[in-house]
Amino acid sequence: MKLKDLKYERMFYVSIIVLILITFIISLRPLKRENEYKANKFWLNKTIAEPIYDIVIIGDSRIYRGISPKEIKKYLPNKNILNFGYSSARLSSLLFKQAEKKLLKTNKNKIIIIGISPNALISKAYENEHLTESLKKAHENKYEILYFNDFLKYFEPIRGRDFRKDNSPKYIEKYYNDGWIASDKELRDTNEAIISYKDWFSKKSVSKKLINKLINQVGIWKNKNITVYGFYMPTSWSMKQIEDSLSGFNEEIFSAKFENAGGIWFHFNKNYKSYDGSHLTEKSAIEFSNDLGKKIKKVQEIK
Amino acid sequence: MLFNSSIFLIFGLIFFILWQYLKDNTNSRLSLITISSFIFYGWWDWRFLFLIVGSGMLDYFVGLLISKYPNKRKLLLLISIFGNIGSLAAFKYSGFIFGNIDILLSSFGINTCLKCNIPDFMLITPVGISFYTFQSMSYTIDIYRKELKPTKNIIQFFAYLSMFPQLVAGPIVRAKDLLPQLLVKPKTTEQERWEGLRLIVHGYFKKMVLADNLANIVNHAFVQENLSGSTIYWWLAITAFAFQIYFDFSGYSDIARGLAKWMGLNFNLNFNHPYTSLSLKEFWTRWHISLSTWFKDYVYIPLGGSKKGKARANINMWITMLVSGLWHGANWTFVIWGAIHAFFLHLERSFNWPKYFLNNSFTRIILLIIITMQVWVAWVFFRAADLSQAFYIVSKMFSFNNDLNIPLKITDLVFISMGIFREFWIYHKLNKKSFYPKSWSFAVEVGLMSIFIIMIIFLRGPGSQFIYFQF
Repeated sequence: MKLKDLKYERMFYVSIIVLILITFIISLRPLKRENEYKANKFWLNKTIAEPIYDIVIIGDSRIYRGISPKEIKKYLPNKNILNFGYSSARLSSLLFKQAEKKLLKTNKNKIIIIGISPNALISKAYENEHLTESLKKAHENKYEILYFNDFLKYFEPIRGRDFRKDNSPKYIEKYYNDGWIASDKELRDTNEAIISYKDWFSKKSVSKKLINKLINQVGIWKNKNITVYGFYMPTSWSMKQIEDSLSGFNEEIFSAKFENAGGIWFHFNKNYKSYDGSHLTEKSAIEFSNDLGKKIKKVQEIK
Repeated sequence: MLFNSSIFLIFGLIFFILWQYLKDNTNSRLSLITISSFIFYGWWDWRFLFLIVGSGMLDYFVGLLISKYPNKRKLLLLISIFGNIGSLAAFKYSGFIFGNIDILLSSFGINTCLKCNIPDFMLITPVGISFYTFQSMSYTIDIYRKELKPTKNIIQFFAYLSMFPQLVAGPIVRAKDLLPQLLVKPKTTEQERWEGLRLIVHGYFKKMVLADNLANIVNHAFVQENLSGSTIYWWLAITAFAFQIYFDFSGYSDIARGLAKWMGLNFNLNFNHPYTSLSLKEFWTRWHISLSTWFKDYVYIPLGGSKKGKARANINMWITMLVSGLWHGANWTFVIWGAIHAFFLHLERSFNWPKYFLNNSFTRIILLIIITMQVWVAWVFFRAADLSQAFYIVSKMFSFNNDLNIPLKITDLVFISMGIFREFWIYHKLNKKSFYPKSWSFAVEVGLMSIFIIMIIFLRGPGSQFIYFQF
């Protein structure tokens, strides 16, 4: 065919062929990563959450998997609560700043709850990569994720592994709008995280500088009339032993500093169940959230 | 806004729909280009729009004043240069400059932290600042040299300066090339639109399929904890990086050129298969051509070029290469990258040694390998996080050990091979041969284009921003 004989542009023919090929591929392709899309939307919603909250809970994955704001709300019915936990979060200024932004400015009784895990106090281990990445995505891909998420999953790159059978035990995750991910694994292994944490803490320990900055922040919040609660986030018994002996984190000393700075510290001595040795199961997370809610209610009533 | 984001697809669609209606009227056309370009740039961070507008305003008015007051043109040019270099120094180099002053003072026992006092917003390098600053500067310099008449139409000037297809990563387009084009009513033929599509699709293919998949190999190799000791591995990893940066950057240029073609504009070729070069001099006529010629015209020649003897020419070349290195980034690794090129160019200029290898195809292949090795070694410094990492990698590359710990997958090797194959194809001029009858060309062209688009959609690598955005 000669160019001058063309009824339509070549671009037109290309468009038709591409549309046919896309339809064909989409109808045949495996959609194995649907969960990633749910997760994308979940993290975006958390990151761009409006400043309407009375209570914001911060910390790492133990926090966002282990605390259900809905359960706490049972004891504090008029409060809007957000779980603002991020993977491998460091308790550093970036997280503090972002968390404070989520609080309702006009509220006179603002609360920040800090769930401590020693890993979140290690200085250079992670640079709040997950939070930074989420902020970047919220800036660059906000509309894409909000409005085209369900559509774009069909256009995910196809990889060889998509066609292979994956026999590894999978996460069971339920995403909640309040920032909680109810988690479990198809096959529980309570030792899964133990070895890596043991190895990790043999090389790294909590940073005094980061602890001081955190304590300093508690004081700053106190001066801004923000109530700060803190606690050592429950984990499995074995993990607690490793963290107590290797991480350099001492709850007694830390809680004293925390309270001196004006914060309120909660001790939890109960045993909760973990599915991987680090994070709480859905049932334990609900139980723990209830225990936390009760403690906050008690303090609030005294106040 | 990134070319490889879905928001750009929507932006592009809206732009070209509006373009159809507004292109025939000069002011509407120029306004559409300017407003769209500001949206394109401001999408990243609207606050930095003030910088591009400020830099543009300065050069627009300096341009007008130079033609009005020719006896003050030197002073006016200096104002423009200081303004532009000043904003570059503040937003791109302040951390580097003050960090180095701190180190220097500490060696005399004076402990300062000048770097700590730099305001946070000045530590963020605005996307593409080096590109639009150079483009803006060339406007006033050309007016100063009487090679260009300033435009009185401020919208035309900003349409030129902020032209979105090339705003953040080039090619750097000269005012004398683009300003006249902007005033011509755009008319494109089917062949030009097709050519535009071909460039855009090839650009996306280079960036999203080749560069983004090669990025996996490179990112893994350069993570400090993973630093391997294997000679073979490092040669493969640097080969991956050499093709990653080439496809990433030339892909961007191709998309920019394709979009411009759809707008009836013509941007010059920016990459011409640099890895087929048989001398480093040739490499620099094929790699990032718009920047190389910018440095030649506005740095090398004003310094005296090669008109003042061999020794002076070499000094000028060294200065140009070191400045070019620093242009790429505020880090000593980039300066060393420039210095390595200057060193090898110096040897080449002094002894003209490549000519001894041009006798037959075997020696030409040897020559190609030697030139490639020179470029590869320089790339190590370009990519490394710091000098110690770079020297470690170079030492491993030349230790010629038999460490076969090569953490690469078959697919990684496929992508490296695709890069090599592509340049090999061009080197042997196979792209100029026809492998099918002429009567099939319509079906082959349409079919291949469709397959490329499908590959871009479904075989793309993990999305990332273009490497040259940071410059």
